[in-house]
Amino acid sequence: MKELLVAEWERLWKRKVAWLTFLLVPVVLLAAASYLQKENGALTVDLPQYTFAGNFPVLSLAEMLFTVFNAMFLVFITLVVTGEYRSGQLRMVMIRSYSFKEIILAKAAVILLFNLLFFITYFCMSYVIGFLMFEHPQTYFVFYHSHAFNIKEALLYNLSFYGYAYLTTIAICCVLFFISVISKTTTTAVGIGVAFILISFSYPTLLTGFKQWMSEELFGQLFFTSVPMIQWQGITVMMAEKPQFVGWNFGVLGFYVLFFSGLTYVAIRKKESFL
Amino acid sequence: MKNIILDVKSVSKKVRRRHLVKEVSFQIGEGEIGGLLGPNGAGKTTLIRLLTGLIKPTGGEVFINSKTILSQRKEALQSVGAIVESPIFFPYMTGKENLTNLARLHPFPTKKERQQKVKEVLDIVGLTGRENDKVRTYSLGMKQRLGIAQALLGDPDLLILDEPANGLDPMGVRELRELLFTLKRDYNKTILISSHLLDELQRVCDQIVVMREGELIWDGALDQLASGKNLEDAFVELVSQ
Amino acid sequence: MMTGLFISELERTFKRKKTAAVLAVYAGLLAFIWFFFQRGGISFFDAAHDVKIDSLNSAPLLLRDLSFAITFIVIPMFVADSFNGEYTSGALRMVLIRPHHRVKLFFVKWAVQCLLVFIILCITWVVGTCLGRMVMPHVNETTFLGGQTVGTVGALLYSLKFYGICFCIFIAVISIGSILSVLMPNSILSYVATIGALIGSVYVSDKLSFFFSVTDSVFRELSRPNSEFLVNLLFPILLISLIINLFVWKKKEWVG
Repeated sequence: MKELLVAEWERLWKRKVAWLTFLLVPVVLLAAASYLQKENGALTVDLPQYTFAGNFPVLSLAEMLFTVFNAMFLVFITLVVTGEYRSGQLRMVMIRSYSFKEIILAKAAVILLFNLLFFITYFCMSYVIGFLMFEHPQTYFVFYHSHAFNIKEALLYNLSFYGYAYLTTIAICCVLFFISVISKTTTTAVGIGVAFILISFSYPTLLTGFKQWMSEELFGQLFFTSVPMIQWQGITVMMAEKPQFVGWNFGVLGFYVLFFSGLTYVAIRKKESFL
Repeated sequence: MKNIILDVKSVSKKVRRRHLVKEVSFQIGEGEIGGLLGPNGAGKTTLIRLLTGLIKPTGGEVFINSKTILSQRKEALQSVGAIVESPIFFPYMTGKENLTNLARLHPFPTKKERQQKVKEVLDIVGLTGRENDKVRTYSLGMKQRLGIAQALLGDPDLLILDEPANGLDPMGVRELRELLFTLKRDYNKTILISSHLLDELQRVCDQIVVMREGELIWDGALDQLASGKNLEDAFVELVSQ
Repeated sequence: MMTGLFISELERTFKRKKTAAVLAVYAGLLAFIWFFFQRGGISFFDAAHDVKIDSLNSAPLLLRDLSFAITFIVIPMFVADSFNGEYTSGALRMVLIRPHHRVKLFFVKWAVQCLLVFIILCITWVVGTCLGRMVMPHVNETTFLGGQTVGTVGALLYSLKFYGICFCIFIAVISIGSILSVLMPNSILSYVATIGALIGSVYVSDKLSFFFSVTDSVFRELSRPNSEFLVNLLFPILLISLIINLFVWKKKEWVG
């Protein structure tokens, strides 16, 4: 299994798109920075959404997590699962006496490791670009906190935020893996993946229309059944001075991981008889 | 004096600093079968892509029935039917649907004539009976036959076949040989085949063009290349020089 | 011969099971959205302006809820399959070696994609208009964004204009998607690059936000009396993307 993991890791990095993804990090960060600089023009410095060097890592991630990161996972998972399976490349690995199950597990591990590396790179680069493009006061305000954070507190906050964000990407990856395994073509896999993300974004927004007919608690729970919504707003709420929906959000993420991993397992078992 | 159907004049293809094809010149006359030989990576498929207008030469010209592929591409291709690399079809359609779909790209006066042509080419390649199956269910040999069928759709003067015997069983290879003779004898087709099957080329070709590392190293009658020796020995000796 | 080329492309597009599947899913989504329309009775011109759905304004509001699916799922999928999938699989070779100008082949592919989107828009418009008249609260006049109150005929013209402008935007999306699809090495990247271009355009300029929020932008433009959005922005983008497409198709080496 170790050799399989190494082989998968090697093959991932032989793809130009893997390197390109990392090269895009500064580009994405610069785009986020210029957007946030424009936004700063309409805000005052005491507001938590006002961007400084210290909170740029979190604000830029919040800006990009839902779109760029999810798109990146979609590309890679479709490439390494649907793409290799449908093109017949997976056969080259299968005939070396590895089961489809083992191969998918190895691919999942490799993708999660790749994601982790990407998060680390994004985190480090965001500090660099943040310091270059924004002011760096000693303290500033953060969402749902009444006191201003100093640099050390801010660093811990940012690291925790990134940690939670990484957990949400594990849930998204489980869903995308399932979609990739069952899809007959790569465009179908991407299409369903995009539809999943769009639906996950739309139904909570639709829910706001029915907010008046339910309690805040229930609305929040239903709202955060969507992983992209947890990415967009849930993490901030979980890290508030009075944390909210922590247990619920972890439960939702755990459900997504278990449910879609289970579905993937069932799908793989069926597929093995055809390979 | 034979009418020259395919006239390749100093054709070159350079990509970055590498010559994939370097100043290759040869001619094939009407009704002749030419063989394109060479080791793997010699530039045969690149040359075939140049002849079919898929890529543009960086030097030289290709004339098909006196029409240049560079500036008279459409007119030149009207005389050509080809298999380039392995024949890839639209897997979600049947063999017949694939041919009917491609036949629309040729100027048949009526729907009936188009359907008739499709039936005719299916008969010629021996796929009658399997034409209503999806192409994704075809074996490699059947796809090869379908590839030849699609090349015949436009009733071309020149057939360019890139390894047409690939994947064919011995019976299929023999049938292909007979098909090529029929096309030459009864339909006066000019054919250029790229192949590794020296025995087969020996049996069907009037002329051989040998390439190595993008360059032409032999162009002439087959018996001149072999001249008393076994063709395989002659070929190996030639490419090893 | 152009007809033959067009029918060939049309055949290949509609014989793909995926085309029928996507259209069926779209129809399902349309029904689902309509169900919510009837239940809720409220929609939005944009994030800041809500509106009661009535018999005269249902068609544009229905498209508002479906435009995301068209822009981010339907068009990129169809375009990636047509412009990239056929090429990278090698099947397009069979078409490329036929005696046709490359430019004609591009136009035919582009036209078939536009036709698909046109069909989708027609279905949406017909459903929105007819069901609106039959099921939604009957009114003799309605007010669109910008305060313009129109009667039955005015509302019909407004919805046709609305759908027409959306169609032009979708054509621009198809044109951009086709450039990216021909340049990308596989369908996945074609699809994602198309979506990336649409979302990324917002970061390039606010004026390009119509790619991201199609219907909100169209409502906004139609609320302005002398909007030159089409002339100053959309048509030039369409023209430039078509010119780039033609250039790429003429110059490209088809090594796939």
